[in-house]
Amino acid sequence: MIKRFLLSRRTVLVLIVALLLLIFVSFLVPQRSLFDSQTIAAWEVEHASLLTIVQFLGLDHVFSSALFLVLICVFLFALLLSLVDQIKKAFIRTTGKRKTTITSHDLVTEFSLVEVAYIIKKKELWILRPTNSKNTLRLVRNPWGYWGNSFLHLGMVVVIVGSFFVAFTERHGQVKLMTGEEHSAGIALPFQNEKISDAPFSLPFSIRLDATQPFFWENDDTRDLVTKLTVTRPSQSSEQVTVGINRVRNIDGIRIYQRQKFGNAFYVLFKNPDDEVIPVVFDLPFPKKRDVPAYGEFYFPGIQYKVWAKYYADVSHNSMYDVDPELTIRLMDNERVVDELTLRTGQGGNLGSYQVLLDKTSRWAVLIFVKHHGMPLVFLGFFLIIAGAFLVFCTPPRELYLFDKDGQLSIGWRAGRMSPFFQEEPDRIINKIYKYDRDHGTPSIF
Amino acid sequence: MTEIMELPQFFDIILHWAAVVCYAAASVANCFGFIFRKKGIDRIGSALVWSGLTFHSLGIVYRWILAGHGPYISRYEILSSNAWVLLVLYLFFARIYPRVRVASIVVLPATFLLIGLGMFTDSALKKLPPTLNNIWLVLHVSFYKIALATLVVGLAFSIFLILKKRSRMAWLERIPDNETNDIFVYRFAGFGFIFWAIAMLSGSIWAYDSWGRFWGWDAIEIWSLVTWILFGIYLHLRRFYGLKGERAAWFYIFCFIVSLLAVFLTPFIDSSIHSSYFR
Repeated sequence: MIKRFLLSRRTVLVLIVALLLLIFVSFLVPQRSLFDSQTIAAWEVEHASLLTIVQFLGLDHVFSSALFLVLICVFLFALLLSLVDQIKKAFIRTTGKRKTTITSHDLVTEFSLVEVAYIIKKKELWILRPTNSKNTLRLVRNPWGYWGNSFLHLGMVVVIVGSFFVAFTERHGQVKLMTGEEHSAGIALPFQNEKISDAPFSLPFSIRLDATQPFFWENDDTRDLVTKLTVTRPSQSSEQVTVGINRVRNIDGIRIYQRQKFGNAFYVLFKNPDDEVIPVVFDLPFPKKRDVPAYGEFYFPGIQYKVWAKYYADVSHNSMYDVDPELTIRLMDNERVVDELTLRTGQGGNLGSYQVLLDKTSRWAVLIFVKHHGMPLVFLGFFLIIAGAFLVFCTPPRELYLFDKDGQLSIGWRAGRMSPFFQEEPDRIINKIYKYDRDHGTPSIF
Repeated sequence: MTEIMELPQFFDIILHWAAVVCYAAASVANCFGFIFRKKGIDRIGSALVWSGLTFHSLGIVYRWILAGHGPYISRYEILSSNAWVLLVLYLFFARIYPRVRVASIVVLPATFLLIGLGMFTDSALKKLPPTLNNIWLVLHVSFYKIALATLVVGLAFSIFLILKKRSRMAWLERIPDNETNDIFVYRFAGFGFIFWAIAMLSGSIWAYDSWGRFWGWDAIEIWSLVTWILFGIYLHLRRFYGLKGERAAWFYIFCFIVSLLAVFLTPFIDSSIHSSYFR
């Protein structure tokens, strides 16, 4: 009864529609994985009356909610049962001896059954399949088309199962490293995406950023970003690897991606009137254009003002390749400019009551680390879905039956799906037989 | 090659405008010729289509060489290439299935509209961002264009089906009967379903290659999946519940509108990881 319920077309359609509605809801309720906490808090204030139901059903994290998981599991189970049925049917259609009750048309010809089959098969791929009678031949065009639905649904099953594997095993984290900085093995990555598992993600190896080099188009857009890293394993063996955008590296089962985010860090020393040295780092994204600076706003303990900073990639304002970046620092008392100073690496000056030195400049880049199991299964599922869909819609199977009843031949034709699309086929086949008869006489098949 | 790259970009604009004019004239001539049975005007329409396609193709190739990447970065390029794929696909199907030719009544104006809209967007050349320098991205966008094109052809037959049911205009007699229209809608929905699936899946592979995750439930991905599921429902309803005729046509049109939202509207949603490429 459960099987009948799950295999019922109505159940399947209801499940699909329910999933669709849940997906649609995810579009109306801001999802925690996509929006920042401020946006979510603002939405919650505006829709306070819906908060209870949203939280109860997990609509603010639909895709990791229990409701979604239950629906997917039921859908998966229904899909599995359906798949078994489909495979059985496809197997019978491909290899079995099907019933041959079919409307047929008489053929006026002196050819034998086998000779007619030969003519039909000339320049067309009709495959002979067994029948339960010696006086009947069955020819099938695109017999693999019977398996289309099976492949399609098998693919969906495999993708869903693979996705579960990925979701439950995935670890995904990011780290921002300055040139020369190392992230040690065993330390949790600072930025981690919310996944099903809350376990902190740490690397089994240390990673040091040795150099990161951007490349630019003539219009200053980023063309590429390449980073050289040194990977040191606990066994003390080291390896230099190069990572770039679209150049992923796999180290001990962890995939390392280069994010398109990079910039410069300016190490500045502030010395206050009490001779106390306050080291600060201005961490700024890379400028978008050679003559357009990148900006940042900072608050540092020990410095009484808000600090604005901007820098050009190069002091000439004419190059994106930051041979000599130029940093401008501004002390702000609310909106009032207290003082401003422009520095290059190694230069110093007075800024308000502070003596300032731009000690060094270092480039930074962001690396993404991903570890999970199940992706090969997901890709296999993709392949099966595509193969199945192709078989269903591009290679619909058709069958020709040739009957010999006391020397009188007749031909029958049947198509499963989209039969009206091939309405002309039986007439075309018959005409082909008659044309062959006129043009060639007896076919030389031996 | 260097000489071509030094030619000013306005040649690209001129070629595109020439295509727009040809397509507009072709749409009018084609419709007029079909409705009023003017074979001569019909032939002029056909000549205009091929002329427009020639200008259009030259424009796309020229810009491709100039920009150093395919027509899928800016809105100008996307709309132009969508129009090109739509027309080429229609001509291909019209050759294999002559009964598809009548879809030109919808396809030609749609082509003109797509490329025409593109002419009002920023046509400045944009360089290829590094994450888009990936073969899977090329496959991803190509299959979406093909999917959309097949869905437009299916839309044409849905419209014909509804018109024939609800109107007695004389020219509708020359459109295939509703059973044929119905089959064509089903067939093209099937094609669209396959190509949309391939587009989504190649996008997933590209996302995995670029960002480390094959599916992030962002707005574009969600709406793409929703569209695919809707067409899946349409095909299931046809196959198992015998949904046919006018009701099927209306449902198809609804699914088609959702596909337009997925392709043209969702890229502008800021929370989507795709949006940075479409600003």
